[in-house]
Amino acid sequence: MDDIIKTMRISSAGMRVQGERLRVISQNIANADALPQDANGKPYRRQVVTFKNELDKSLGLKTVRVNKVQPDKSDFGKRYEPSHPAADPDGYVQTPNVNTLIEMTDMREAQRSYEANLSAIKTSKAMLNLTIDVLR
Amino acid sequence: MELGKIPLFELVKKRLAWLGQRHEVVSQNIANADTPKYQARDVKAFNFKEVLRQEARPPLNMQMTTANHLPGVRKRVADFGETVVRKPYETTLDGNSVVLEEQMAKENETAVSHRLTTELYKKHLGMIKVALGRGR
Repeated sequence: MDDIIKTMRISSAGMRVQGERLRVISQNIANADALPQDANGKPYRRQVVTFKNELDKSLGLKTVRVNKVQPDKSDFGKRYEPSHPAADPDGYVQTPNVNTLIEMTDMREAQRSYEANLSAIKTSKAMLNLTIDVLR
Repeated sequence: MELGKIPLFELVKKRLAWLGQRHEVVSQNIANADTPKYQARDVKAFNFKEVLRQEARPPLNMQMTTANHLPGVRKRVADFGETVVRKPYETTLDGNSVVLEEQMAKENETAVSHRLTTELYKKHLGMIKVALGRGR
């Protein structure tokens, strides 16, 4: 029974990291149009979240944790808009390297993983209830 | 009368421990469904050879010679063997070999077996009650 309770902790760790991932994704989407203030400024840089498998010492089990939230190194986009205050001498403005379509796909993936963890918790609960039912 | 001495109850106990551990491993896989380089694991099949091997292994708990000693994380009396799945169904580009659908199937399989085992336990207990003359 102790094992099954630990299982719920593992799944909740999984849900927590997916929540964190969703937070970073919404941050990216929210800043998809954050252009620089002046010609020297940089637009918003997309953030990427990575996970790692780490030992939880209090549980004595390997759970999942957020490894790092790093900037995406890909190049910024460019848009021709000479009237913009941040335009360079050629009339181009740098745009964030966020692709909303990719963010949406990522979001769906996070959602699916979250649901999978939730279903693992539901199964744990059902198993625990069955074990308790034996006592009746 | 000791219930553990009756072969069926002894078997039910082992089987439940195995199912608990398997559920734990599957939940860990699900929680790490997006962790780079994570390899899906599974518990060795519950069969005679495995039970015998596990039986021969000594318990791994810390010896406490003074009341001031900390017990540490208690190991299970004997774990069942765990393996990395050798031929994963699919491995993603970041080296993760967890397929959520496969894990869901394993999870449900575990839950159904758990249900079967607890029902079997109840049935057998009922039979003993009948033998004792207390009805079902």
